[in-house]
Amino acid sequence: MVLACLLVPAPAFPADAAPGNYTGPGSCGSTSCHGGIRPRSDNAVLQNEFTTWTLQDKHARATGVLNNDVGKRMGVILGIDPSQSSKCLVCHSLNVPEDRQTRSFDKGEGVSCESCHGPASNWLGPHTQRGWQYEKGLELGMKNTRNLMGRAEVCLGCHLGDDNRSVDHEMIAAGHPDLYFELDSFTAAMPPHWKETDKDPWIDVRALAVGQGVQLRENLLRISREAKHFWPEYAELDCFACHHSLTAAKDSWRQARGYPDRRAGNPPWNSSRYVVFRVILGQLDRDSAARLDAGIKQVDELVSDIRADPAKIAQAAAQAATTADEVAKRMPGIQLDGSVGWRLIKAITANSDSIAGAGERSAEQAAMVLDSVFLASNRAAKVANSQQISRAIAALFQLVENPSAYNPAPFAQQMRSIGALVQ
Amino acid sequence: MSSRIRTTKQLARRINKEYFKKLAFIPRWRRLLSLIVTVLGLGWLVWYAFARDASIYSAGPLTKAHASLGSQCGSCHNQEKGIARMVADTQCLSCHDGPVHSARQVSTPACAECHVEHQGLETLMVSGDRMCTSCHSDLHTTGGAPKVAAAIHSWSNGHPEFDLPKQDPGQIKFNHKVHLKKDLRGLSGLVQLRCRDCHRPAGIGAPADPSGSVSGPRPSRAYMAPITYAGQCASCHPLEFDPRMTEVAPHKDPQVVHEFLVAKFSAYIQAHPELLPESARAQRIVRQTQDPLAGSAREWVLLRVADSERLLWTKTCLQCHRLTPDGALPRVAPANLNARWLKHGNFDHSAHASVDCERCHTAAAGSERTSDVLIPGAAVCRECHASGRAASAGTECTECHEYHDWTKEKDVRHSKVGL
Repeated sequence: MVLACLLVPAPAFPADAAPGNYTGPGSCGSTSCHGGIRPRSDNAVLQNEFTTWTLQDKHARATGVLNNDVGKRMGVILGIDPSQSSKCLVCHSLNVPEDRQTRSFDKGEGVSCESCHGPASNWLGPHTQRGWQYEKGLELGMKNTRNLMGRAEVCLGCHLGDDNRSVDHEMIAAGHPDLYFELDSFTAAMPPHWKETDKDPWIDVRALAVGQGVQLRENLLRISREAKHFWPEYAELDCFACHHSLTAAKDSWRQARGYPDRRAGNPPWNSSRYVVFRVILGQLDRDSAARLDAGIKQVDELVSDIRADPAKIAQAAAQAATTADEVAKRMPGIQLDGSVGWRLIKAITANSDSIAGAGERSAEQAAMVLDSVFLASNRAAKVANSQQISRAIAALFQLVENPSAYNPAPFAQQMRSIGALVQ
Repeated sequence: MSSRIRTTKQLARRINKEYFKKLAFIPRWRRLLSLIVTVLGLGWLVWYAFARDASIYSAGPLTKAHASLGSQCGSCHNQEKGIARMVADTQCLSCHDGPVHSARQVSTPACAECHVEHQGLETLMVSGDRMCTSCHSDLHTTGGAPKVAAAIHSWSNGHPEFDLPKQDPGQIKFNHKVHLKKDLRGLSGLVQLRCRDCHRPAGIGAPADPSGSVSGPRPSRAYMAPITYAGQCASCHPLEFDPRMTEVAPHKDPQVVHEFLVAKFSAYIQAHPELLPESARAQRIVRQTQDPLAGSAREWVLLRVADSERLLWTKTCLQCHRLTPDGALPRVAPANLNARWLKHGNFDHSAHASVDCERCHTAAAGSERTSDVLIPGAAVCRECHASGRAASAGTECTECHEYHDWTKEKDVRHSKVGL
């Protein structure tokens, strides 16, 4: 039975309930529509979205990378043609079946408009008309990316995976980067092609919290799925517990620190999607933090035990995912007061040792979250030493540049020094 | 007994025995008038002969086109063959070209069989389906099967469906439905496009005479003016290429565009040296690969040209054109717009100006593909051009067809008529 499940090929495109068919990116990029050269101020939208995507957004080049040297080599290792295989195209292109294309379009145009906004055939025509409301589009199949939960879910469909899209240890071994995500930082890096309609001064921090909540839930769901089919799935573990250069035993910080939470020799869970969020929750929603903790602790213990029963893992992860879902849904409406930013930075840096100690991927999350929260805080109320803090955060980024050489002690030290700069 | 007063002799005397020597009244006048009329007639001829005026020999008024020939009968009527004979083709062809109808036609009528002069007609052409159907009702050729229907008796009897291509051969991606939709977004707000915004009769919009008076030949209005980027597309689809630049790229070959971009960006960076060297944007995510930064003007130009070309080749140009990779620059498929759809018949839009476009081009407003053929078939013509109906538009062959194949027209250099 389990074997039968494994043999059923994943559909070429995630089943989505959105009505309508796909029109392809060319339908949106007219100069008068979303393909202007500069942003416009006389309309609710910037109208240069397509141009921003084409020129600055890596999503536009997502299909192209399948044919670069790494892509080709991955194809050789995995025995697939990356530019044709749905295993790759599900995330690297707008890969929709012919019968859901209103006209045949080139799949090689990367992750394009409808990959995130949903199939446009039902709303493409009417959505330019006088008196159009965003909500009408949602009824006709447009995905709600103004809603932070919806936005995070759209991103994480690829940036973490779902039923039909995944990056497993085999793909990582072949050359695919390990997946990671932080909604606000990734949005800024994209860069955004929209102007935020929400006038909340803390919208970036809110987005960050929502992104953390959704990615935790999705991570737990992914573990639950994997544990039912194939376990251990090494991609759920801390990569650099194993992937690091070996030094003389006397120089090993790992051995010096010991393995207080697990049996020596067991690679630990990559808990990066929780350790920073946990601290954030401690500040924003203490009850939720407490509710999550017990469930997550169980998942952590089970995933970090190489001999654990996969059925138990699946059950524990599914259970924790339910709690994570409830918590995530509280994030869009969470109260954020004027001092929330600096408070969060203080709290995160106060947990330097536990975050840095949770591994390189957790350190990575901390660096991005600190940067996002700092930028939002400094925008809300500029501080005199902002340049100094910027430089300190940049240094934090430097410490995770080479992941297999990552060392928690200097990272925690740098985090503490950032905390010391914040009043 | 009284004697008889009138004797036989007396009675016989009453008869003029010389009566036959003198003509009676009617014959005399008949003879006299015959003589007078003949003399007057001869005198009239002599008078005209002295006046060198041959118009009295004309069988009827000339067409306007030939009016300038006046009484120079010999211009057409070859003296050696006598004026009674039909004007020879050679006479016509000395001024006019009359290209052959078909290279494979079995017989060729003389010019004058169709073009009858001295009838006072506006034009020389004599319509009448018989001229055509005498061959086309049972068509034979000098070799091979006819390329057109072989049994056309009239428009309503035997005329085939129009010989339209199955697909529009055009290579410009064009969606009529989108362009004609309600509240189409234009560059400066919502617009409602109509057919005539793009499909303008030829001649409209031709440059006005600088003197202000209408002069010179106007282009034909029978066909639509050709669709061009500058005329129909540019106002809504400008070739913007960089937010720093207000100019647009030329609508030319990629090589020309490339050279234009290099020149523009080179001039720009020369005017803005403060932009160099470029500094990295703040990193927002770990593992983020930095965009390449320009240290020199040359690098800056290369990077900006690459960006602009990416935008143009993958968006702006690609929106309408088919591009294929061809080395560093793409190759653009020729537009291949069909200038004329009805190859055998002539259609004059100006003659149909009172009819709405959509009345005939019914599929246009809903067409989403370039390949859709939006030219109506014969059935649409028959809605008005229906023989046998009381109020019908014309149905003669010559409504649409011409005998001469003007694609084979030659230049006629010599005219023996000195005008």
